[in-house]
Amino acid sequence: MKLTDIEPFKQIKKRFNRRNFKKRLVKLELFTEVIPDGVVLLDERYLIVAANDSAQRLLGLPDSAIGEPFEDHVKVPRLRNYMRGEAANKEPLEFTSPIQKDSVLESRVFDVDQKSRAMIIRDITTLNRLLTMRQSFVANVSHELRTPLTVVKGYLEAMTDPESSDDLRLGLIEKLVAPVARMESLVQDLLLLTRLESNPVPPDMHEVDMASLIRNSNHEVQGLLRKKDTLTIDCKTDKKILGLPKELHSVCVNLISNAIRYSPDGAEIVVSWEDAGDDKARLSVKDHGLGIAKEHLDRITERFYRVDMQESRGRGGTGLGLAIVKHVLRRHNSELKVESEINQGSLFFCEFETVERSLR
Amino acid sequence: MTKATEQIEAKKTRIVLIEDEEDIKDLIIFSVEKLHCAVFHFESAEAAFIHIEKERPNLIIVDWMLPGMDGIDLTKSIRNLKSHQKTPIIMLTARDEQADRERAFEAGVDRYITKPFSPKQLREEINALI
Repeated sequence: MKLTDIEPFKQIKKRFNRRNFKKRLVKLELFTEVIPDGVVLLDERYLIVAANDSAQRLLGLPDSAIGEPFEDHVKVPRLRNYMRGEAANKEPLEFTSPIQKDSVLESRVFDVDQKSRAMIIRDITTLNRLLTMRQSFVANVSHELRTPLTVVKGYLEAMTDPESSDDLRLGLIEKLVAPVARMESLVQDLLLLTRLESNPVPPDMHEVDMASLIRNSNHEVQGLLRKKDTLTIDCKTDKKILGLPKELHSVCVNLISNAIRYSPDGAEIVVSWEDAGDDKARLSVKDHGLGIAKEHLDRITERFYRVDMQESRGRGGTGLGLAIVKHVLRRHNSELKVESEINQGSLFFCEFETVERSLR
Repeated sequence: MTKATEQIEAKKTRIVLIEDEEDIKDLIIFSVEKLHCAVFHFESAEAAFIHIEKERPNLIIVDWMLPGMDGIDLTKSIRNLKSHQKTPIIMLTARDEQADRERAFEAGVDRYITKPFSPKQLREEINALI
């Protein structure tokens, strides 16, 4: 079958005189070539009548495939069955790209006329990845909320039990404080992260005295320190930077609390603020804790990414800390860097332009 | 402990609890207090297994997600012990997909309770099993 034998083609031809028809054809061809989706036209024997550039690229079809059976060139059994089935109201078919194993394609089939079918091929790899990310995000949030919720629900049941004494009820109220605080932190972190992501450029920067900001953060993490832990603040410079104090404070608190959480009892943590030359200053948090294996380093700033999912939940935190740090630093033209060795500890650091340089 | 109290203690139902989240552990212990059982708590499956093998508890409550060996593998290991093929095991977990339940029952648990759970329901399940 030729392209010119297809019914819609004949109808278009009727509507235009010969010259206009050619023009129209060129336009149509151009149109099919620029769309990112692949279009393949098949006849009743499933021979390829036409295929645009995208279809050739997505399915790996050579130019010589025109006029040959589709199945000779695309060896995907599911697609073959799908293509041959009823076209009407069909759900699209998802399949792995025959030429690139990590790509996911989607196909739809439409009847063009009684003797021919059009197949649309779309690359849905990115869309799929986003959907998976959304699903795992929702699953993670629910999982993080479930533990404190379990505690609250459990004790509430005991409190509303008519057999419980007043003394017991009073005692149980205290047990609700920590889980409620945990849920509150999770919600706060989620909102902060959303705000950071949707508003990448800070509206107004202030001059921030990092040395005193670091000292203030120190007070906030005191509650996390165990008896034998030591936290040393070492500010070697009084250089100031332009930034948002609240966000920079959350960077310090998140980095220090992680250092405490991922160190065994007796942690020695050093937080420094020092000159980094060239109108720059460096914030660093060093611990001698568990360390992070190389293969995880690239992913630790992902939301809810935990090096050992099962182990680290018990260590507290919302699982969003480093994602927040990453976004805040990006807003401050900086970037989080990590050096780490298993069982030796980790060094988290970032550099900022100091006020002198920012104003230049 | 006097000999008399020792005997009473020995007669108590012995429950082994494997749960790594402290708040949840406290809640479970609080929930089963009314049953007057002795609860032996472990944070890891490995440590619990050594105890279970030696001490023969009357019932085991296990979380799925644990550091190191998980609750599913622990259940399988327990079921492989001749002495523990019928020891009741309750899995208490945040995972509530149908496929998870099926996996847990295949591994050999007797009851599957999801978090958030009702302490009363937990007591009822324990009573039904022992």
